[in-house]
Amino acid sequence: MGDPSVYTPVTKTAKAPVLAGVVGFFENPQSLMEATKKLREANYQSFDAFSPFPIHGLEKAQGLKRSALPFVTMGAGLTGFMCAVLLQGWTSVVSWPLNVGGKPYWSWPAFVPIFFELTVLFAGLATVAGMLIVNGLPNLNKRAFDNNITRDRFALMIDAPKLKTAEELGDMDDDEILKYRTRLAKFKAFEESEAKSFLTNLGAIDVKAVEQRGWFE
Amino acid sequence: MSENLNSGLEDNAAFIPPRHWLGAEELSPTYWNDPKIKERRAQEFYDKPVETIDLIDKIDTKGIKRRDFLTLMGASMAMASFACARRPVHKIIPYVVKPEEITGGIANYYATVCPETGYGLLAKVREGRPIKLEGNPDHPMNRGALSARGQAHVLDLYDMDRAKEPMKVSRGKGSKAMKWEDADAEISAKLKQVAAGSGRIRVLSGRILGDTTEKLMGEFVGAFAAGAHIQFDDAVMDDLATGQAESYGTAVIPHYRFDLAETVLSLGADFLGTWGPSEEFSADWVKNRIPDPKNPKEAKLSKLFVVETMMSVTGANADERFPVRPDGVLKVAAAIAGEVARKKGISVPSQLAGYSLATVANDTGVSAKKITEISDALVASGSGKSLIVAGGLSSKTENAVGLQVIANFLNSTLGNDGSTVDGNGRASTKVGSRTSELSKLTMDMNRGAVDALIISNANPLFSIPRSLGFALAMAKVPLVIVIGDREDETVKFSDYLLPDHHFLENWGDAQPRGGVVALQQPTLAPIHSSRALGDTLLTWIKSADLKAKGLAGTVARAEEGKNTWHDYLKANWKETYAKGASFEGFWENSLRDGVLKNTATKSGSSRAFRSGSFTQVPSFRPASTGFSLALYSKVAIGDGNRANNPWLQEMPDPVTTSTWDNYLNMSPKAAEKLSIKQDDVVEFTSGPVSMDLPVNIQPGLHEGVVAAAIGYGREAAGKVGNGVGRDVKIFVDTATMAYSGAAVTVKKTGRRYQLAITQWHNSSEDRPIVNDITLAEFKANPKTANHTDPHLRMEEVPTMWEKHKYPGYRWGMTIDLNACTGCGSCIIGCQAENNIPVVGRDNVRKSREMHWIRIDRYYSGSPENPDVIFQPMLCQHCENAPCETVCPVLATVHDDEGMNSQIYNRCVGTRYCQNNCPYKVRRFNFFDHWKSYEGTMNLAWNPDVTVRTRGIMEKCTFCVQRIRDVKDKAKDEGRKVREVELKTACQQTCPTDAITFGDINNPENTVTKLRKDARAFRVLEVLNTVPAISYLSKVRNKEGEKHHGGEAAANGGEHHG
Repeated sequence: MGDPSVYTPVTKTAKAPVLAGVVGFFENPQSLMEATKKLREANYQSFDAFSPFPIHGLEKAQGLKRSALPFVTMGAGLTGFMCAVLLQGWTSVVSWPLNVGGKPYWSWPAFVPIFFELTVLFAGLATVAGMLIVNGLPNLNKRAFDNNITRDRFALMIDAPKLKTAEELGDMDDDEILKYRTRLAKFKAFEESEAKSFLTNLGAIDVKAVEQRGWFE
Repeated sequence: MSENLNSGLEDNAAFIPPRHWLGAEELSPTYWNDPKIKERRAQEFYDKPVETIDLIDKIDTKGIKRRDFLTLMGASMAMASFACARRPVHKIIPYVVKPEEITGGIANYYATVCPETGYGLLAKVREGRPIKLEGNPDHPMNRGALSARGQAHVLDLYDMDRAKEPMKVSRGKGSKAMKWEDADAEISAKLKQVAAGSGRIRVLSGRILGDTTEKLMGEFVGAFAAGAHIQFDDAVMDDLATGQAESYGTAVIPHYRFDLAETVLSLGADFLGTWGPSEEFSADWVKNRIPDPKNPKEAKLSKLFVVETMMSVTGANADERFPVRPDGVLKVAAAIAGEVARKKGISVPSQLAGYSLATVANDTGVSAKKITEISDALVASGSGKSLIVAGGLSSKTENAVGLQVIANFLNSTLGNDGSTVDGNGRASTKVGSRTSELSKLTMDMNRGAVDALIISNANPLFSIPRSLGFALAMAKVPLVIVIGDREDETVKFSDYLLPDHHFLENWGDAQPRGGVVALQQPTLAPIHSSRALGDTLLTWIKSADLKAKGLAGTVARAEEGKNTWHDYLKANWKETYAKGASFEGFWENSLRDGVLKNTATKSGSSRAFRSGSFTQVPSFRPASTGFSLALYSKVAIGDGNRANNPWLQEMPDPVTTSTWDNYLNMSPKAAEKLSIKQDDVVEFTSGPVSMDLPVNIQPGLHEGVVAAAIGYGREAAGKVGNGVGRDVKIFVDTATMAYSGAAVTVKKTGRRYQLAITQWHNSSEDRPIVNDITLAEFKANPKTANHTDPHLRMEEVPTMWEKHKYPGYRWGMTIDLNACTGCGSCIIGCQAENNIPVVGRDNVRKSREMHWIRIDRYYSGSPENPDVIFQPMLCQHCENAPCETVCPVLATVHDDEGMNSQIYNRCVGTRYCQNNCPYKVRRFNFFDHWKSYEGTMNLAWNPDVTVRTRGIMEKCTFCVQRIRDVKDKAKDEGRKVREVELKTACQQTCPTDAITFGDINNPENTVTKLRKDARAFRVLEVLNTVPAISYLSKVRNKEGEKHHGGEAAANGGEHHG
């Protein structure tokens, strides 16, 4: 195969299947968890665990960091609150003050529902949007490799790293190529057969290679 | 009423009745504990008339039948599909050629005069159509004020049932329209025959106040060999004028000076409501009724004693009121006269001998002590400082003249004649014809001695009691011509109807009393093909070639263009009034002022009382034991001649607060004895005549009196007035023209009929809302007024936030309960100003009346003879308005001048505001009520005020359009609004100036000063709504009796709250 950091497409006319990664299926969550820990230690560039239900501790085993989403929610909520304050304050006190039953123009108890509503509205919408962005969703280039992973199977997938083609490398200058290669060198090099056997060694009951397939392919 | 009131009180020791109550029922604990009553009181509106609630409840318990369900479904489908109709589109059409005097949006005012009362009017004319009448401030009688009936004239002008063209009528067999030329030709030919023959023509008209009209009619009648002019209507104070003639020699209607009287004794005369020029009397009387807050120890009020049968507006305002039978009025008067004579050291006239104190007290129920008290008060007030007035339908027995003689005797003895009674200076000589002349006319017609009868603006077949037989007699007259405004009862049995102008379309004048000369001018071009009475008579003088003498002959035969009624009037004024000055200038000035200014007559001097007139006083006859019937006229309906006016029909009667019907009033005690309840239909019989009427239980009636109002039961008044109530004038004894005193028996029929009474609506949840004290209490501590009732007052009002500032103007009002007589003028004034629709009897029963200002009537004391207090209630424009905070769409908010404004465009009709208003002054349009105004009636709308559509909430705006008008004017002139130029419609028309309005930021304004008066209080202050309206407590000149009822009210409220 030559230089592992260079991907050589066989041909451009017939659409050759591209390797997405290697998947190993596990019998139960415990074995998945142990396998995940070991896989992480093996220092592959990218891998992911799949389970039909959340498994407590799996994200730690995967080495995932805490999500930034709560900060997005907080910020959006505060923005919503400020909008409510400004909107009501401006309309009721500044622009068009109305004397309703002798109450002060800034009758904040009457405004509380709107404070609450706008806070919740902004926070909720921003959280959903943030979640999608953080997760890179929706992603039309990936498709479930096995429908059973949402039902009763536990899987670990070692992603095949995205390698640059020779053509792409040709366009880059030496510094960039060096940087690219140094980054790749930090991780354990990926090779299909090696990854398969690694997964089998971890206790996978079934191992298979997965081709890259989008939603519309 | 079935339960015994007093026993109820004894049974339940904890129960303390409310201090002010609406009906005698409220004095009983059973009333408050009745779950049905509780539910009804909590209801804002009755979704069905109360009468049918029981019936419908029964049906409901059985479930809805399938067919009913389908019907309801169908109806609701239909309603749903119509409900979304778009708002009506009306086009505005501009003038092609603009008349010189008209500026769009600016009103012209024309001074004219009301021929019914002689009051001066200012007609507000917008784009060529009168939209509102106001009193002429220069007129010495009404002084800017106007009665409810006066205000309502503008709607009569646009009445859809007015005659639109001449009609040939075939005596009860229908009518058909004809041309004026044909009518004139036919009638002239006939008149020619009459003139050539024996010339026995009669003109019958209502009492005419105009000299010129009277003169022309006299000259017209004079052209015939044996003509006569008779003036008669129910308003004629026949007994009064006759009494004057008996006692003093000439038949006059004296001018009474209530402002000079310290003690007033009214013997049945409702001078604040229906008797004489009540606007003038009210204004004068109130002058002595306002206690001075600066000098409370010396505070003085005039004292009003009223002896009467039916409770009238005057009786309701009395300091001490004595309910008696119709014939009891004369007995009490005679006893007082005897006492006064003794005290004055004059020999008691022999005719009064039978009326000893003990006898009268025994017979009438007025105690000897009270009669002595009245006599003492009359004598003590000094020579010429008291006033005795007598008369009115409800005391008009066969001895009505005798009653007048006694009153005259009292006035002369007490030195009032020439002082408070002006019988020769400013007295009115317009007394109409005597009843005897009417009887003579009927007799003449019966024996065929009348060739032609011309009836002008009178409706004898309705207004003259039927037993006189006028209808039968009229059938024997070969030619009957009616000059009138509609096809009424009389027209149907005549030969011709010639439509007369409404007075707002016509020229004329009025001399209602000595020293008052007023000019009447047209305010718009005639709407229909009508012709002025004067023109009609002048045309006939010429066309029938009548030998009319004097001015009529000259004008009628003058060249074209100078032979009209207008020319006649001008010529007559030139002869009579324009002395010396150039006529054109004088005429222009008179037109502008509406009333001649320098015609002041000397005030009257005392006249010699003829003791011979005492022959009119009957010898004492004991009262009957059964019921005596008293007839009376209501403030709004009067004699019924304007029954087709929906404003008047829907105006709640001040005392009974009933609309749309007449009824038999009965005292609570008598009703209890016969186990008659409110709204029970009874049959009452006097000799051969009997009638069914629903019962209204009226506190303050003598136990032996039943009373019913005349003016109802019209058959040909028009769409509105036909079939409203029953005509009770069949009970009048036409031999003596005795309206009251007939012995009647009363029998239950078992039927019920719900009267549309408004006082039970708009419940303030029994929170004490009104306040009155006695003069003694006021003298002791003028602030007492504010402390009488702990529920009314809240000394320190805490606030959680800084209050709003109202720089610039801030509008406020005060209403003096001492000055308010409850006459109801403001209700109609407001209705005319603010385009308030009429809703009809059924909607009033459902509590859906639309009046923005209402006059609440409360009783206090015993149901046999309660004290009455009137309280005008309108939007209080609260600073902390409860209605505003609950509106989900901000359709009602405060403006920066302190007013609570209603924004019709924003209103979605949730009615939350109405629910939350503690004063219940908001009105909801359940229907497109404006649609009930048809055709020409639409011309009566005030273009400055939005006509509200269905589903809109509305209420008093403090006449914001008037404020805007005055503010614009002030702004143009670069100054602030002056208090004198700004008046709300209710204030403007109030004869007693009970209402004061203005900018309360200006310390100089009367309204600002009155708000700090010792008597000032605000309604339900404890709710912290901070109303912009302050009320001034009523002070009664009633010594000895404590009106402290604070504790009672508090406990009472707790008990039934």
